[in-house]
Amino acid sequence: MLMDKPTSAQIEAAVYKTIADVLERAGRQAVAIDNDSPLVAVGLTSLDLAALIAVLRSRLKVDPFFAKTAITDIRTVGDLCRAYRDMIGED
Amino acid sequence: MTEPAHRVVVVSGGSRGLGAAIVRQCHEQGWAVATFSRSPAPYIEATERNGGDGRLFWRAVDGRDSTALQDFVAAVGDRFGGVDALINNASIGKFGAFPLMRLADIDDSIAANLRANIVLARLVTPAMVARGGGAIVNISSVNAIRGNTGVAVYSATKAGLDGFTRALARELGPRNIRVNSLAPGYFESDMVSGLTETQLRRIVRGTPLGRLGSVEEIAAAAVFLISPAAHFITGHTLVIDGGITC
Repeated sequence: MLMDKPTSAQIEAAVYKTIADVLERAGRQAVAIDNDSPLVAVGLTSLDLAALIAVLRSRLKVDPFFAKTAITDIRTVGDLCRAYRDMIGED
Repeated sequence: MTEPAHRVVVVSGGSRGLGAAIVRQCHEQGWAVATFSRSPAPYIEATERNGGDGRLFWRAVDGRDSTALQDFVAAVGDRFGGVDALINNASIGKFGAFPLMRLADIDDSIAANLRANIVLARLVTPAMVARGGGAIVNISSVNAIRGNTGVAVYSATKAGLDGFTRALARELGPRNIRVNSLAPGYFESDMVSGLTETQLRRIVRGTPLGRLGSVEEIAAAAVFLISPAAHFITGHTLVIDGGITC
């Protein structure tokens, strides 16, 4: 868990690790990802995204998708990182 | 994420009436119970005065305030490590002739009885998905099933909850999250205290079991629906009304 306000690099690392954790828990093969990777290509279903948001909520202490950002606007891993960066940057 | 020492249930509106009975029964059956209400919860205050056991958590929250609900759920996560079950109990009753109803009363009813419950479910379900299971019970009403005079908006909010229940059960079932609603009939509560003797006699006469329900009976049904005994029940509205709608 990150106690201080995380840097952009820490946010990105948390997102990448959580994607890997969620895929592993779902029994799916982890794939190589970068910020341009579409979430669909990564193998995340909508309910996987719900799990991802819950885990990131506990790790980063924010949920950008509760009131600020529409999940339908998120197409890539980079979009996801940006949503958290924008939310944390506002705190 | 570490496994919590106890299963954790969130009960909205746990200060009095049905909510207080649900809180007490869950607590007696070993659940860690988190609840909120606008007014203090006497059962929790009394338990804490007697030393408590660390399994009760209460905050003053108005369910119509989404930010306060978000803070409450975060606090429950910090305190207990997660949420295994949600009982959406809080509701208000604004009754009267529909053509004369104030807009503010319509808005209040929808905000408290429908929107707040949906928001609370939105807040707890991501973690349930992440944990691989959970149970939600929405407290509906027989007024969602049968038409009655003077309760049009209340009925609409409760019928909305039943629709929400079925859709959510289908969506979250694959992740082992069960969603049911409980539709109580007339039971001894503040809701029936405003009825006249004549109205009460008519209700009892129309009830096959020949009496009003008790708050303990309704609470027991809610606790059953989140228990392991109900593990194959989802998408269901359990009517508990002494047979008045049969």
